[in-house]
Amino acid sequence: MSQIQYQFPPPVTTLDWIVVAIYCVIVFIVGSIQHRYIKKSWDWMLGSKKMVFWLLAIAYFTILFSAHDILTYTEEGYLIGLASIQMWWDDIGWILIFLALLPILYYGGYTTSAEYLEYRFGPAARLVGAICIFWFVFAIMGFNFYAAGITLEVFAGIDRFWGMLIFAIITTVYAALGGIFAAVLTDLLQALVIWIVGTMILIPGLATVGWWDGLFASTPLPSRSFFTAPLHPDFPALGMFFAGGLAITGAWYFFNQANLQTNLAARTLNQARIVTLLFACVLMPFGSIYMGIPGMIVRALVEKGLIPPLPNTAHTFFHYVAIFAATPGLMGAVLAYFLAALMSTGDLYVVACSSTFVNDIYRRFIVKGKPEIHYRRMLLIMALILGILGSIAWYQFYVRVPYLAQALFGSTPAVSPAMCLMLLAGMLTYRAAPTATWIAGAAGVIYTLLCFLVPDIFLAPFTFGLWPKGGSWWFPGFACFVVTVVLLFILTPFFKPKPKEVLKGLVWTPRLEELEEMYFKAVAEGKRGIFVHEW
Amino acid sequence: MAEFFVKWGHKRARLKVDEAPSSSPPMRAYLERKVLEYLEVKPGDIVVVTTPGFLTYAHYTRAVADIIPPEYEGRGIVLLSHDRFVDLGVKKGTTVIVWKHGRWF
Repeated sequence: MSQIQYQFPPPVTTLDWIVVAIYCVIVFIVGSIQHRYIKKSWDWMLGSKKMVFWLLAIAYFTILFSAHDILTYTEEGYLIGLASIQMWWDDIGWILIFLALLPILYYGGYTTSAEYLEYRFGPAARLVGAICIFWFVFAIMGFNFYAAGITLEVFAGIDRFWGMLIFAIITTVYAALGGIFAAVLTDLLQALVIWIVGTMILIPGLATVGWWDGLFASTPLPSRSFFTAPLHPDFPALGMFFAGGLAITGAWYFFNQANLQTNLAARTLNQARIVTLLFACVLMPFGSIYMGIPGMIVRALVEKGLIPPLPNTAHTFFHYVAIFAATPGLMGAVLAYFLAALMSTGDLYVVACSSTFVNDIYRRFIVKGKPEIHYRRMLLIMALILGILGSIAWYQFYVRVPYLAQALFGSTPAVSPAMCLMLLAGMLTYRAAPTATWIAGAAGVIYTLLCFLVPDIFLAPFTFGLWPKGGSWWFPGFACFVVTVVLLFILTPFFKPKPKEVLKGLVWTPRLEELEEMYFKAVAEGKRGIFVHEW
Repeated sequence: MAEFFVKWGHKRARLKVDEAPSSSPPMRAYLERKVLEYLEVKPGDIVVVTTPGFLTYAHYTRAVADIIPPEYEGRGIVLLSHDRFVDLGVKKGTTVIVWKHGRWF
């Protein structure tokens, strides 16, 4: 077979830019006009629990299907093959735990999981929880915009930092105006673009390599395995399990504020459960096809000698696009596809950042007792500020790390174990003592921060001898897990837990009817939930 | 007149919406007796009031059911207290669907 000739970077014509501009304008307008439905801050954050479940499930899917995932998993698909989509399939344990514990969060009436921590463990725990949420959301939102920066760098020659900032501003403005209404409705549009264009560009690639049989026959043997070597220098299975399978997935369900808001915005508890199930059992496995497979196709072409090996694996997706979609008009659609993934994720994270700040820090600790309109305005202002600030917070780390996946899975799930352990301790046992729990959580967060500041000393002992290889960046979450769990066990016996009577509705119970009754009674009294009184 | 129907196994009523007098307590939806009977709702239960259609998130509210004053009986309307009327965000006379708030809907 003769070599495939293609131009890299793929040419982008005026028609393509027009397609992109039209797409951006439509999303911006649809998002911004949702502003008219926002009457109070609870509308902005949770849509006052009015949202339709199928819209929420699609929004949930589009949060996952992000621009950074397209770049990261395509690169991983190229480098390690099938193992790249492993992390999209390893959620099952967490889903079951989450579905069992969701009634506590839903009926409680909370907006964030940090708010739950205050009712369970006091204000210090809420602060630690809010910091964890910020860490996670800033990291994942920033990485999403960073991926957009790389795209503009490749296609338009704009420096990735400025490209990142341009998309952060566009997304932040419409998300700030319309809150969760804007995010969820624009996500519907964006999901359509993702499915249609994603399929359009995937099919020619699969056809070229000879569909699934040809794809697997052409990729190297290790690429056909669902797992890499346990201590692979760049993609250690052990690190992928800790960071991807445990830490980020735990964070994904329990305190990824964007996801939690899509769950808690559902009209009933059962609809919230359907949102999670639709996402996890239908939309996510379906979406995983668009992720690693293009990378595997590029690898198959390299192995067959049809294209030369890639000089920069971070650009794998763009090579794929250059080979299979470099025609005027379609290229614009591909860029719109990429933008759809970018903005559909970014908008909900902007909403999440602002909700967390105003709900858990500003309203709780800084300015209390102001009229509702004040907090509503603050949500909008903070969305604009945090959306842009958050997008650049992790920039230096992303630039420093060799592979995109290491940057993503090093930064985002790092403090997740601290937060997950605090939440699980609170929801599963009466014995968890408030002081012991928040101290253990705070220590986990501080230790993780030290892992990033002085990795030689604090991260190295937890990397199973991989330090200073790139694969070490899969382990900050593991370090946080060890520190938090050890401290939880050591400290808990020394502190007194809250009496059982005051923990009704805060700790898991098999008697769901009781919780349900309490919730309906609270709603009838005009409350948001069992514990949260103000609307 | 009120129209009754079943959707997804859930009994619902199609009514016109109106605002209750300002003296009405908050969180209330006043319904005719036959509507309450059909929906199997007792005064004090929570009902959902929403506009028909797919994308109904903007016009959806929850309220506590109560018996409508006798002068409004037979008109096929649901009277919402001011706070609920504002929360629903529609004009007077708009057609709405009412049902008992349950585990699924």
